[in-house]
Amino acid sequence: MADKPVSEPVSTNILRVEGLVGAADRVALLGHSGRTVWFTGLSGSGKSTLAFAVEEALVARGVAAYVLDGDNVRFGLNRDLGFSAADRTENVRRIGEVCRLFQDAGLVVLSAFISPYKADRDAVRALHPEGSFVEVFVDTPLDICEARDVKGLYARARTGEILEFSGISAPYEAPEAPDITVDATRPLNECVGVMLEHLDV
Amino acid sequence: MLLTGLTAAGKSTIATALERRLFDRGGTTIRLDGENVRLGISRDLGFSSQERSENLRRVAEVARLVNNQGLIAIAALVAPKDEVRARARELVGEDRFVEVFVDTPLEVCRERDANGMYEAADRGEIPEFPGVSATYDRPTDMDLRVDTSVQDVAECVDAIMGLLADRGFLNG
Repeated sequence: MADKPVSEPVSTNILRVEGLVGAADRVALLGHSGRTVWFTGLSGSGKSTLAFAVEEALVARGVAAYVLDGDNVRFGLNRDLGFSAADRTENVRRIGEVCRLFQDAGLVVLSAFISPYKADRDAVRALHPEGSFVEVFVDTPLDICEARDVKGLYARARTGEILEFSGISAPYEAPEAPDITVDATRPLNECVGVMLEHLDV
Repeated sequence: MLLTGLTAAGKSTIATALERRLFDRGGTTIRLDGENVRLGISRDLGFSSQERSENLRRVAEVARLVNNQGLIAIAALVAPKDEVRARARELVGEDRFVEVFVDTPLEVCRERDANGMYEAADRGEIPEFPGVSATYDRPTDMDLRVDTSVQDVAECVDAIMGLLADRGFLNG
């Protein structure tokens, strides 16, 4: 069903159902506007660690924040998808749609996926109202990610046990103009500070 | 919460009114409307029974993410098959799942038919259309039944709010 990216909806005769709660109502209730904070970077770059730390800091400040990462998406919503280029694109597309839903509901959603293709990330940005999508490049060099190799994935990619591994045997397209660039070789609390300053929620 | 029923039964109208009612008492919800998800997360899916099944699976997975944040998800979908609804119930978790059967008679739904869906189904343009060319399995284990041909929207929402209170979903 998801063997190729889709631009136009397959279903016709569809009219969007508008809700009775507007964006301004939600800002008034929650005290902040909805935001999609999209982390991108190599495997092992520190995306999830940073996303969870930022989530914790935001929730402590009374912000409704939530992390989407491989653990709660790859084993759930996207359990039918693998790691081919087409499946990666579909993976990012669905995550982008979920982010847009949550952002629209006034939440700050933090998405932590490699999301290696620029075009896929740009498509997610295009789903969002201006200013509500924040692309964060977790800019950890490949040699450092590989040296860390927390999950042993790089070693398996080098032996060919894992195919199509971003940065090794599949492309990783770094963002050209990310909204925030984080040097995740710096201490975590420093990175969180950089994020909070930029997010300003 | 799953609002299940025929096309044009009033599911979306109830869902938006319920969302507003919950919002007015301080609760943020996420509404997963069948129409909207087909323009979004399920834009690659049509209306065959296999695709409807996949659509409901995705919606249930998103609802689970919503519930994990402590929020109520309101899904308004035809969801015509017993077994698929049962799978959604299992995915979301029995203790978090509420099923409301919007049991508006077929002839009333046909008369409303804002999007021309029944006519398109009559012409054979939409295959396996519940109520026309496919069955709609009437729920037997729903938590509540409403009928928009005899109840107005506010009454339906009142009944649902009562159910949510009974289930303890309105605390905090």
